[in-house]
Amino acid sequence: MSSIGTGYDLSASTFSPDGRVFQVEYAMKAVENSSTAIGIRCKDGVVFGVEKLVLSKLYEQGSNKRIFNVDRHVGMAVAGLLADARSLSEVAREEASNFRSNYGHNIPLKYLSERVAMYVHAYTLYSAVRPFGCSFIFGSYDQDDGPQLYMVDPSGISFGYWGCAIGKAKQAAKTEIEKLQMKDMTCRELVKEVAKIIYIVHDEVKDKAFELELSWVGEVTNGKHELVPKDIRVEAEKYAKDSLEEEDDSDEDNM
Amino acid sequence: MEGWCWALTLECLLGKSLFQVLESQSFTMNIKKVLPQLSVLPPPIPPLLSIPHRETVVNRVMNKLSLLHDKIYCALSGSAADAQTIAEMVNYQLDVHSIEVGEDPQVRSAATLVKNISYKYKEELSAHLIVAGWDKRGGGQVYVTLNGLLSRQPFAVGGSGSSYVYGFVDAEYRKAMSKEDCQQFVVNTLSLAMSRDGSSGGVAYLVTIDEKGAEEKCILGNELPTFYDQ
Repeated sequence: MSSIGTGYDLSASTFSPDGRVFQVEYAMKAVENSSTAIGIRCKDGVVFGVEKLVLSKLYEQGSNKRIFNVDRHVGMAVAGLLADARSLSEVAREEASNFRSNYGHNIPLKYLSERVAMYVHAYTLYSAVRPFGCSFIFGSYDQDDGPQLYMVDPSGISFGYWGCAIGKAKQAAKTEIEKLQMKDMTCRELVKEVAKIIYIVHDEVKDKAFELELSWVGEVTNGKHELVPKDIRVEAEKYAKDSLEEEDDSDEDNM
Repeated sequence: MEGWCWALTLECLLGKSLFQVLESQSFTMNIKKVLPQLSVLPPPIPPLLSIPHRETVVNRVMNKLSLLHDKIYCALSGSAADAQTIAEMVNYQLDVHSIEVGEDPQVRSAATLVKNISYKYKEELSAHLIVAGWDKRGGGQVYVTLNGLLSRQPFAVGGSGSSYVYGFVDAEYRKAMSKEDCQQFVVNTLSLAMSRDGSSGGVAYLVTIDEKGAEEKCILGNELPTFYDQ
């Protein structure tokens, strides 16, 4: 699928003869090497789920967070190079903060994701810098606009979604997301489904331990983006594990 | 050089006007203005010559209701140059902002933009803008931005004649007035202030803003309601 860009892939300021900018494509490959993150928008909110691979038992629980708060009402889930993502989250926070300072109200998510996308795009234009190696999913909830979900990728484009996935298992996750009727679900129901999808796409063979990071923003949190409370998270993980076992059982029956 | 250019524009000396802005629940909003007396300062004379004396030119027909956006207006008072400049700057900023965001700006945004300028340059400027309008989230809203504060109020008065009518508006204001009652209330207030304040007089401008848009009206001095002593 991937072709070697011999000679045309050394800087972001060079096109290849067939019209591709290889550095940007390589940046997207960096995102695909990281573990999966999904975001789904439902009737009254947005839920994020991140499969956070735990590389060492020595890590404190909850370290290396991959879900950030950009503003009170906006959350951001990332996949790719975590350091790039952290510096971009600062950029997003500054945008949101400046908007509030200039215009006196919450930044609309479409506008925020466009501004961050413009910033990411700027780094794909010059040979002196490299593109950012991370994608993000932004989610917010607003009384008047309702829930919103936007994704930004390393090439600097942003689209709005009802559900999206980034990272190594994004194809499998997308298939699972498409099966959901998210427009009719509430956040509480969706939390369980998100946990289930992360458990489904997690590859037991290649990656051993993982932590599930769940966060939500919606009517249930009064428009504030926060990590899902521990008891609901535990319940969601239990639901996810149980439904996986059921599928395993039904496979055995078929045999 | 700067001084000469400054003097050539019409300058309004401190707050010689009254205007009143108020909102009602039925998503309409009226702004009323009474025309200020504007004064022209003579060009500053270099230190060698004598001290200049003030000349006064009266302009009773200046419309001090300035458009910030389709459904957001502001009422000017204080120095005309300062107030007009702020209004122009905010008009431009709102134009850009509404295109970037892709929808009509909120009244709160307009008021915050005005407030930011008023606060940042509060030592240099001498103007008070009352920002009011209609947006789909909050309906009709009125914001006061005096000296760089930002406060939302059901109604607001300002300018030199306003001190004479605080009692009247406090007593007569009702929540959720109809559009006609609102307009009548505002016209009455202006008329009272114009008759008592030496610096106010002339005509009254009225702007009513609701979901459908803004409607401007001018009421001549002899058409205003009369009260005791008129």
